[in-house]
Amino acid sequence: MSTTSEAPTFVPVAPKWSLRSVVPADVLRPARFTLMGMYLAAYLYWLRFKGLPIDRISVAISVGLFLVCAFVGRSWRTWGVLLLDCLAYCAMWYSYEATRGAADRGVLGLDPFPLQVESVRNIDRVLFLGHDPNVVLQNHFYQPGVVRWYDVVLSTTYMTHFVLPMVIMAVLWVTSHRQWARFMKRFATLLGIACVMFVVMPTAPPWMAAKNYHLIDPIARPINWRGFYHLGFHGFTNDYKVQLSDGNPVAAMPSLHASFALIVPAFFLPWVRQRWLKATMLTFPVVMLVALVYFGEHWVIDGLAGWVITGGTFWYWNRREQLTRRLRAGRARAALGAPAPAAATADDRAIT
Amino acid sequence: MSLDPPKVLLEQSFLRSIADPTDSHHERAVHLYLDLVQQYEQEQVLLVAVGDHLRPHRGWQRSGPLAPVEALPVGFQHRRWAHRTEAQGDPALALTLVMCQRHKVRRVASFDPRLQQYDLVLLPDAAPWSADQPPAGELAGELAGDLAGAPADDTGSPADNE
Repeated sequence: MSTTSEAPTFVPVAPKWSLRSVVPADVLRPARFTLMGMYLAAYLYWLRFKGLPIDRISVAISVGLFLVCAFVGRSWRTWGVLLLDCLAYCAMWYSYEATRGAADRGVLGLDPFPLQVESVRNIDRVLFLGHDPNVVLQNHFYQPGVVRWYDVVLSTTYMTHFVLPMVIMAVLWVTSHRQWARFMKRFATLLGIACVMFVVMPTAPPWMAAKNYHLIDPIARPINWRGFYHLGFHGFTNDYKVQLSDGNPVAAMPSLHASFALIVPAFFLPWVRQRWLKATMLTFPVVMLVALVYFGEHWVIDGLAGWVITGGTFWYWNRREQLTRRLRAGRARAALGAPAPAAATADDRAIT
Repeated sequence: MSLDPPKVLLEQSFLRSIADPTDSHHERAVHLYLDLVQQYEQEQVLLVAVGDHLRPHRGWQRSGPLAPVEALPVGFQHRRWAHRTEAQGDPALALTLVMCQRHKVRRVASFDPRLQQYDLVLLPDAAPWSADQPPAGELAGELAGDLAGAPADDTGSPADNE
């Protein structure tokens, strides 16, 4: 009988090489972070002492500078894609500005469409049981010469319209081109629909209905800058006044302030799991709508229309992207001779 | 936090196995690929491949079996890094490693045993396989669990995203 017992064998686990130790380091990565840090510091300095750039050209320059900092050392192809993206971005804003500016003067040689004043006022009165929400809010909360805390909150919320979507675009541009493209599809669709509505349905804002048409009680305007001015952002306010003078005064329907305030939280909601955080994010467009009505810039129905259009763009693009994924997956399965999953087949029928 | 679903890179040997019905791994590759396609359809993963490795199968993109696969374009800087990468003298392997590193890919579908030496999650794993196993859907569930369980691998600093 053999007394030798077989010792357990231990197969040594081969140490795995880290990719970082094998692939040469990207020596320009620290440079990118340093440049982005310097940009952020310069931006904050400018924000505090010069004011926030809000006109399209200043914003485009500031976004461009940020992208240059973030793309240093990237491949030439990445730069080429960035250039094409920038051209599309500029074309989108140019189309928007041109259409919006021309809407009240007529487009393509056509006379301007009839101005909506009473209709929107009447809708608001139906929604609020015969009251004008703009007048009611100002009567209860507005005090000439006094800036309350809610003036600061509402004014700051109002001013984020000029900054927040562009900041989101720039961050997405750097972090994920795929997500940037998803965001831009929705954003550009929203702008396009808004431009068409500005042309076919020029709508007077409440302050104009009060001042020029006397359809509602007088309301104070402009008061949207007071809270922000109170915070010390004087340069921002001056730039904004210049910008305002070039705008189309009868582009109230739909409210892009309300739309932009919704598109940002709506885009990021799928990544947020906590309900309380989702609810908090969705209060932002509500606060924006309250600000718009309080300042006399928009009717309530303008904001609601903006939300509906924003929801519609998300619905459309979500379905479209889902359909694209299914089409590609279906092509792969068909080419490999595999049957489609039963659930997917049923859903495809529902979509088509 | 990464906004995109985790990427799964289809490596050269895996693409070849899908393309060639006479390949010894063909059946297994198609089986796994169909599971990945199902996850792609549910937006749980993104399927990517190195642009150079997709070139022989160009006709298969858009309308062929590789319609869901996105190409990772290879630039001069990637080739330069691949040239300097220690990868057993194989430029294709070096390029795969570079692209995995630069695009924050940690899951690779491959039949190349050399990739086991690196800190990558390889699909399929080394376990024996037959056409009947694993049951349909189980592999997809395992992979989904694997991908969901280790999201940290796919998080990347913003400045690194190409």
